[in-house]
Amino acid sequence: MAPIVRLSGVDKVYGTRPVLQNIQFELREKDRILLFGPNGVGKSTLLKILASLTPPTSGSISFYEDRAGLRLFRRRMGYLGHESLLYPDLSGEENLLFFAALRGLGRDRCRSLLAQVGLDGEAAQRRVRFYSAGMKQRLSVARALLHDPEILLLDEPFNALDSGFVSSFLQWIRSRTVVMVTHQVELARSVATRQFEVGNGKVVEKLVGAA
Amino acid sequence: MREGLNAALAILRKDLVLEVRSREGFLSNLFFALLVLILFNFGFDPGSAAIVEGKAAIFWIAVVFASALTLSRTFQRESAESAIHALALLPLDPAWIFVGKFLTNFCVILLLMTLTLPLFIIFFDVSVSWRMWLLAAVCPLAAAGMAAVGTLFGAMAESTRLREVVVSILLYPIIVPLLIASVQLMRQALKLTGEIENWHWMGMMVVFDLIFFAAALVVFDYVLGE
Repeated sequence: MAPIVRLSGVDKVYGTRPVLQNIQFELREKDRILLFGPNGVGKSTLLKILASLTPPTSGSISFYEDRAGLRLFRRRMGYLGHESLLYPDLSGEENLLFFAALRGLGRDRCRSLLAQVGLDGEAAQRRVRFYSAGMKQRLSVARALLHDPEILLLDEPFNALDSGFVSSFLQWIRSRTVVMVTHQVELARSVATRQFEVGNGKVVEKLVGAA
Repeated sequence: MREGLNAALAILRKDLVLEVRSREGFLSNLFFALLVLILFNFGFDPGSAAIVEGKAAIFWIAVVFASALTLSRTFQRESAESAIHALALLPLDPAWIFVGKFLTNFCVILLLMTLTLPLFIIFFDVSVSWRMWLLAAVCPLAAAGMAAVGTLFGAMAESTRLREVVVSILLYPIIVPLLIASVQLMRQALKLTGEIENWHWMGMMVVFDLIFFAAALVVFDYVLGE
């Protein structure tokens, strides 16, 4: 079966600073991949390249090894970014309703997700501007899961979340194809099937349990 | 097609809600247009030849500068919490995102024109005649042209530090033909007698709008990717 995403000889340069060099990487169905490493080594950049948000400076990226694969990938993929990707002056419910409308989904899906992330009732009607960091992260998770994606690309997914919600989130992650970037590596290792260390422009696979 | 159109309308609805909630943006633009009208009104003698000849241009000066402020904010909301990434990842042709933002700018600029026009009529003692119906065609055509060019440049300028300056520098030279046509047709609308002439300006506005709307649709994917 063709990999979902394949990077071949990918370089990424910001200005004159090379961040990633000659990266070979494949994401396959049912992979749960952890990307770890120190700050500023290009983990989030790699995730954005995988998400098709940032083009590589050189090298190639293919989705399902098909020229038309990008649209299928975007249909199946949910992305949780470093920032919330929300509108601060819309309420939690309005934010989800907007993203649901963009994907042709109904109000019921939004309400059920808001309940699942514990933001139903009064919290759903409050503007996101007035949310705590944890509430905002929960709503971001709901936005990423809105279209029930089979593939999740997650940048620091456990930030600001309480342990109860993290447990539920890990359950969602277990049933999907996932790439996560996090500094909370122990949490991520509990669900990861593969792990890669990012540093010095390289991405090196480590044996699970040996890193 | 239907999926894309629904997405564009969802973006329009969301942007209008946010525009209403952050009224200061639109109101400051309207007050800017009002200020231009007041300054010209007090700077020239009422009924002077300069005012009679130049009042059509004064209306468009007020509207264009106020609209440029609106256009420079086009993608500000999307970049506050990087919501533009969520839009960019939709399994849609990015042109539909452009259409949604274009519709928002078109509505806001047209509203700005609609609210500025009565003030212009009062300040410059314009006699309202049947010929004013011409403005019902000129204003939407001008708003569409400005929105098409401005939405694209708003997206291009979003990642720059001097967003307002960049949009203005790019916008004004491009829309000169549109503005000349708008002024020429408004002069016709403000006349009290005689036939309406120079219909070719209307045709030029339609062509301008179609060319820049189509060009923006084509290049928006690249702009969004960058």
